[in-house]
Amino acid sequence: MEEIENNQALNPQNNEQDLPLDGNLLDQIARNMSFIGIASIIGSVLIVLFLVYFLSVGSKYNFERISSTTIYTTVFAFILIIAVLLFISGLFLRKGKYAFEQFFRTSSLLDFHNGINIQITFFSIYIALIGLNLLYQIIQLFI
Amino acid sequence: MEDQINTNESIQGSTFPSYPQNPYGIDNRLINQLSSRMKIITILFIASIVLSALSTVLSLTNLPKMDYSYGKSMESFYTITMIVGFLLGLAITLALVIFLLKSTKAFDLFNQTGDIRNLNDGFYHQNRFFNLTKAIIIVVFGIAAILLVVTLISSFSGKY
Repeated sequence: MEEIENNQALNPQNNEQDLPLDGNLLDQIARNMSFIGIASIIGSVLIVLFLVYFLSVGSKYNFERISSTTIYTTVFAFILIIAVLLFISGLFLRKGKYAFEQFFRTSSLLDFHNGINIQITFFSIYIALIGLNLLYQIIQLFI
Repeated sequence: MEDQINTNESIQGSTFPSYPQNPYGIDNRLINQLSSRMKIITILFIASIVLSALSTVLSLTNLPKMDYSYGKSMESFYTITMIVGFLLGLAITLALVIFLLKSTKAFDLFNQTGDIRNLNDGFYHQNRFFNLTKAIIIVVFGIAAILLVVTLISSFSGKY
């Protein structure tokens, strides 16, 4: 029993007072992450719906008259990648929200680290998204 | 315990920068990774501003070459829209960059000092970044919804 008490004293993970993080702030971050996550998922679904609509409308017209079909295929693939990335980032943001909520319940440092890890993954996907946007801007400059 | 010390030593001896361990047991490497990701985003945002400025200038210089069937008023409308759009984008991106920079600075300070107030400060600025992103999403979705409603009403009323 004494050994367990000693372990708990050494281990600050289960003691909320040892981790004086602003709970209100983290709660707001979790809510914001959830909102942005849902919006990203809705946005990605809307983008895919728009692509499907555009393809169905576009089939009525002869694209080859306007431009090469390969350009359209590339643009569609590009937009599809963005939609998929948005969807994945949305899922990760929702996951991050749950990790922080778990941290509020348990005050476990493991859950806090999990939340930070998910944030890191989200920011990595965000980098890819902005990178794609930059690539698009660069291509536009040359066209 | 001995293992933990060895791990810390190996971390300090390898590619990871040496940080003093904070008394809360928070993994400094994770905070460092988060900070570096946010720094990359800041750089990409700045690059995006530069590219937007370039494309706006190019579009404005190419404007006289364009053939507008609606005349000169349409040309000035496009010019004003482009300039206002660029300035708005610039203001929003700069605000995001400032929040990101402040947040990364606070996270780096936490890694150096181990003071939890810096971590809270970093989260505060990160929350501001998320708040602004949320506001942008609301505005974009709102405009998209209005445009959709207008298009639907126009198509049902048989205008187009």
